Amino acid sequence: MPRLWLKKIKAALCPAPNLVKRTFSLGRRRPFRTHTPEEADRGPPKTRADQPAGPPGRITGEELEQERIGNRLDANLQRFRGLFNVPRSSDVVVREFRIGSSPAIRAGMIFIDGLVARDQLTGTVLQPLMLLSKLGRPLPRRGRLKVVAEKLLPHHQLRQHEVLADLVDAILAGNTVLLIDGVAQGLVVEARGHAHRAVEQTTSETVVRGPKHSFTENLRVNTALVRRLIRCPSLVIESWTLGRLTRTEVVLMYIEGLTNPWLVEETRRRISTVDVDRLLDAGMLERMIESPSQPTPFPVVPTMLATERPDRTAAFLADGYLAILVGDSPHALIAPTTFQSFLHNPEDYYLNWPLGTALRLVRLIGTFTSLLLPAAYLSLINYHHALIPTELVLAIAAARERVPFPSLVEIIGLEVGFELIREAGIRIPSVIGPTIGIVGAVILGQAAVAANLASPLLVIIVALTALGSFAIPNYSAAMLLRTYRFFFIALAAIAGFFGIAVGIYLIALMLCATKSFGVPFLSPVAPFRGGSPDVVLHGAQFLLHQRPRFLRPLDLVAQRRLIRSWDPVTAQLEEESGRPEHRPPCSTK
Amino acid sequence: MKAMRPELGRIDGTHLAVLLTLTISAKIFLALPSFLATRVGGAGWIALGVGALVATVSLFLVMAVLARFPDSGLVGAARALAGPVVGRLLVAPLFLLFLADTALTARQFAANFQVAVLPRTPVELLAAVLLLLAGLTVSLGLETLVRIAMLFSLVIASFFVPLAVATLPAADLGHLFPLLGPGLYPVLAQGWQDSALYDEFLILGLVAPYVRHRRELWRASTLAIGIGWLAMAAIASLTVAVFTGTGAARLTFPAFTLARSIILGEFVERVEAIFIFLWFLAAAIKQSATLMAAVLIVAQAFDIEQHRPLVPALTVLALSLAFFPPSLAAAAELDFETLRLEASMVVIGLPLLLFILTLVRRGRPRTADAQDERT
Repeated sequence: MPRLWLKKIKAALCPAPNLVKRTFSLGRRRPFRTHTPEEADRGPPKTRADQPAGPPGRITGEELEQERIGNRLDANLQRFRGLFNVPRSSDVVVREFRIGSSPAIRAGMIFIDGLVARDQLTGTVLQPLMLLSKLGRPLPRRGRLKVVAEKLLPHHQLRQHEVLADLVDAILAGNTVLLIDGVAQGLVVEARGHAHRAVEQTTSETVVRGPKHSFTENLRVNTALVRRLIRCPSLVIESWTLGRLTRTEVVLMYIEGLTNPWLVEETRRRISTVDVDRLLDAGMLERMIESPSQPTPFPVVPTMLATERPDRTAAFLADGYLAILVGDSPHALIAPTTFQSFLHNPEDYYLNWPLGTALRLVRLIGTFTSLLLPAAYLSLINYHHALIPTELVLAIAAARERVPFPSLVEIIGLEVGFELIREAGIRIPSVIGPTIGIVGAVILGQAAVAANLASPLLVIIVALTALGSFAIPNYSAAMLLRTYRFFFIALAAIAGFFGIAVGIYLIALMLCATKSFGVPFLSPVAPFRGGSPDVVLHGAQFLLHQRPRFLRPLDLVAQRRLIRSWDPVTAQLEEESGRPEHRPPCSTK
Repeated sequence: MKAMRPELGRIDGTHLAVLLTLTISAKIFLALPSFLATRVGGAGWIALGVGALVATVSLFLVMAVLARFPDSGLVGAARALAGPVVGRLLVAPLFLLFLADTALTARQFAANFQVAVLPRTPVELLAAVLLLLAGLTVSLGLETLVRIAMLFSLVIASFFVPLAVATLPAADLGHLFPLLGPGLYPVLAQGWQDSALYDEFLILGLVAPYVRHRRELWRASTLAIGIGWLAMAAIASLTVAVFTGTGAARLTFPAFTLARSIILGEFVERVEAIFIFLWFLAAAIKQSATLMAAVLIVAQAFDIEQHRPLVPALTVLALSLAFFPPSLAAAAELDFETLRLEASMVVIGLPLLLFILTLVRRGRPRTADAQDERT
């Protein structure tokens, strides 16, 4: 019965009669079928019994995997036309031509327009084969493809495949398949060239000092950005193809010999079990593989960190973390993640350590302000007047005198109003969106005070709360705190400081019970794991000689102790303490 | 006996030390300073020290018993030494002690919260909230319990130290003299009874199977007893130094009254509400630890692999017991008079009995349980 409902929903979502549905699942080898126009007109089959048994010309994914192409060009091209529904699929190009040997040999190219670099294809495939291939002798029947690949095609990346599924895969990935008459193999020419955004400045993790570039919507560009920062052969990039419809490439990056193998295996296991129709962004994969937040069965707390900065990704990899890149997503997912990572910023490491520490403390204050300030205000107003100095109590009372609402309604109204302004400000399609949001907030706040709908002190409280949430460097964490703030407001309205204490305990309990890929979320504080001073306080760079212990990296030592050996004072200390053996993971010695 | 390690997780000695320290020290936020002032005046810190020494001796006996049974805890040892039935009967008082401790702590803290900040909230509701949180913590396992203790130990310390320091200006050390209060023998007798104030160290005998390195047990427990003594002695002495022995004896919530005496200039006059976080966190962790101990005893005594189903039952039982005494004063009296007197017998008697059995039955396991332990 659920299957039936699922099919009905799918039918309702995809009712277009001329829709050409292609459900390739070569990576995961799911059954798929190509539909004839008549079948597409009928819509999806209603029940399992209605599905055709598989007449000639329709094949499943398993069959496609087993099918090999023949040596007759016409039959092969016809097969591809059938698979890609050519000519109905207008972006799939099947180009026939003749190789200029003597005698001329028929050949064909299949590619998807828009995914390939056409100029490159013309210059390195068509031109050499059609015009420059005057060999003066016939192409041998045996080893014909080898001669073409080695002598005629000046292209840098070529692969030979004979299984139909591999060739279809290659075309869908933006490559070009070259078929030659009399050859039972296809040549995959890597000439991808789809349009994508260039590497630009980061938008959500901006820094004053440090690299400004960010990931973009191209997986290979993104992996190259990380490779440029970690020039080490031990950097491994494993890949999967996920999503039965989207066939998104997912890569897992880690440093062999440094990252804990158990973590690598666990991440592999989670990624490889993902079985979805679509995977359009890293966020969707994150939802599939992130750990649940105990005691709930759901992931309430983000246990993976999304970053758009290559330098931050490289720093995490060098510490023994793993990074996951997904298709056209401009974010890398870092796993495992611990709480303090959400409060860190790459700039902490690029500045002098006292400044880095000061910035972290400011962010910590911002976090608590964002989470607790409205709730604390409500508690003080409603339950703990005695804590407020007499003069201030009188001032607050005077300010609230004309407001007709209880303080709870007042604070909820302003908070919701501010959230609306912020959300609207983000959606305004202009760079002035945030400015409009802030101006709107100020004007609305003043209007609310003038209309006696809110007290001036509360406007200040809400503004400070908003500033606190802006100080949190991670978008997911800031969003989460915004949500929890309302939870604390409710608890404070019910029981004042006691309610806030209950809320703090509950959230701490959840964080203590949560693990990210097997690593306790509050490491290295709870459970306490020693190591370099890099949790809330940020130690000097030359003191950060250990990688995070809670990751159990294969090489704990990140740098030898007292690296400032040129300094007579530290050199003396170095002599006294002795240098620990340090062999970097990339050492070839 | 079947182990429950996978469900409860593994903990380190340091984490255990923090948990035991907080659990032992938390009762100083209840009426303990008043009872000490009533009995021995300003010599409460000495009596507490004597109690700590007695508890350490008892701890030594526990460690000797555990050394004989490296793969199990006190319950397993009792069953192996005295047989399944008698062994279970031997640990029954320990179970009752921890359950009563949980119930009476919840009642006292709830009543104190009601008096201090939420006068119109029913005390039953406050006690239920406290016990529900304890039940939730226990159901999440030992690892989570020690982690939250670890996390909040910093918060509790950051509240506790200012509390102690900020009340110093109002203290008169002359109130602590004569040093031995009513005399040496009354102080020693009170000290013997005060060994029950450290009864939470017996939790180590229950969680020993889940500790990664058993050699850390001794250090963790002595550290907990030592720091617990320091914390309790500090607040007990401060209470007497600020309010005099007679004044302290009349207080129902001495720590809260102590916080009320803090004056930070003219601008900030009343800061006691801030210390609600300290009372609350201390209460939540202590109750969770004692409830966990009660759950562990039942689970280990009856070979129950999953501890979670026991948690709701014991939580409701503790909530019912919490309202057995008719008032806050009766609850405090039951806790620090009757229960502690009984508890001192358990704290000293049970380890001693098991130690004697260990000596008597050296090389002769009593039952099949013992055979299992050895293999």
